Parts: sequence; structure tokens; C-alpha cells
Amino acid sequence: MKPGCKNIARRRVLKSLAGGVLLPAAAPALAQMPSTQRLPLMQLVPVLKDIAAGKPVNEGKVKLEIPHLAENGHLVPLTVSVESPMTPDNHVRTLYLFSEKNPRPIIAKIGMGPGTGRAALTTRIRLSGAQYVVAVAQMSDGSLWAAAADVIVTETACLDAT
Amino acid sequence: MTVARLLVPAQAKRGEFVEVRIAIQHPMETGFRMDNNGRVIPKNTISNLVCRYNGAEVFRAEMGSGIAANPYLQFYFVAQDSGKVELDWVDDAGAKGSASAAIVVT
Repeated sequence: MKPGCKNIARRRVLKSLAGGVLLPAAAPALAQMPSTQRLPLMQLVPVLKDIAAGKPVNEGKVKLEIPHLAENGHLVPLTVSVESPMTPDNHVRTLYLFSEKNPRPIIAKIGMGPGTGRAALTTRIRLSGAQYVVAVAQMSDGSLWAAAADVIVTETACLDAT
Repeated sequence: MTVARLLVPAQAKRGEFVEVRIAIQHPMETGFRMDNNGRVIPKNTISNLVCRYNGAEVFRAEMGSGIAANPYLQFYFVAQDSGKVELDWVDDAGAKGSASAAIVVT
């Protein structure tokens, strides 16, 4: 028996495990907090206090799709969609993306209107470490709706080289 | 030289949601990186991006260092009339860019 033989067998087992268990978990499984579980959004993202200005932030309406496990924090795909008819009377005015642990908590501020038609956005974000990502939609009537998702980031971005 | 790509389907039906895809070649400097001499590379992100459809604003984005380099955005607008989709952006360093695409609405 060659010295490497045992290792190869071990590798094969690991590989099959990775193919069977890890990959599907990494690729289509999207992290979405159950709406029943209330998160202390204001504690996660203190900036939200300034934006909410005393108004309550409701959980719901917003859907945040982001991989639960991101291999690389420099490039994490993210899709946000908001349930809204997008009519002149009732539409999403602003969509905020927040990060819990990035040095700058506001990832992006998106302006939308009735012409947008469907309140949805897909982009790629940077994440500095495992954390919660919070999406907040400000409707035309001023109400705020939020969703959060936790992401495990194996290689962090922002603090070292891009 | 910065390259901005604006992808819009050539044709759409009236009332349909049209998917817009934007990709801009931009480093989106975080401001936390150092160069070879240890000096901080100043933050430079696309702070303002506007997409207009026949002159009316349909989408606006203010992006910080949390958006990945070479930003990609995908969003929608409602097709109404044939015309032009325009994209304009400005970064922190004052560099501007634009792109446009034509759409035929039936």
C-alpha cells in the first residue's frame, strides 16, 4: 500500500460529501429570516434610527435573497424584491441596503418610483465578515418595511486588499 | 478608460416589465486600502447613478464601498413608448460616464 492511498480514499469520501451536501447548500439555498422571528434591527444597524426618525420598522413585504454561505466577501450576489403595486399612490420610494459589520453600514440607497414597475434589484455587494444584511424599503406613504438575512463570509472584504 | 454597459432588450410589449442590466468597469475603492508606499488610496465609489426612460427617472442608486468592484445592477421599468434608455453616473473623483440604449415598444 502506497503511503498516499489512505489519503486518496479519504479525499474521495470528502469530495462526495462536498458534492452531495455542501454544494447545494452553498448554491441555491438562500438565507431568509422567518418573519416570525423578530430581530433587533435597530441594534444591528444603528443608522436605521436616523432614517426611521421615530417611525416603526415593520418586518415583511421585503424579500432578501442572498447566499447563506458566501465564499468570498468581495462579491456576494444579492436580490431584493418588495411587494408593492408600484402605482403613483403606492410605491417604493427608497430602498436601503445595510450591513451590520462593514465599516460603512449603508451599502446602497436606491431610488425608485412608479415607473420602475417592479420593485426588485439584483446587485453584488462586499461584506466584511459574517454578519446580517438588512434591506429596508421606504414606501410612498412613509412606512418602513424590512428584511434581514445572515450571511457567513469565509473571506472577508473591505479591510484588506480589494 | 471606463466602460459602462447598459443592456436593455431591443423590443418590449406595452405595459411589460423590462429588465435593465448595468455593468460598469469601476474599482469602487473602499478608502481602506493602501498603495505600495503605504499611503491610503482615497475612497472612490459611484456615488450617483441615474437611469432615465424617455426623460423620466426610473431608477437611482447611491452606492458606497459596500458595492463590489465593477458594479452590476439589475432592475426593471415599465415599457410605455418606444424611445431611449439613458444611464448617467458620477463617482467621488468627479469622473462621469453615460450609456444609452434604444427600445422599441409594440
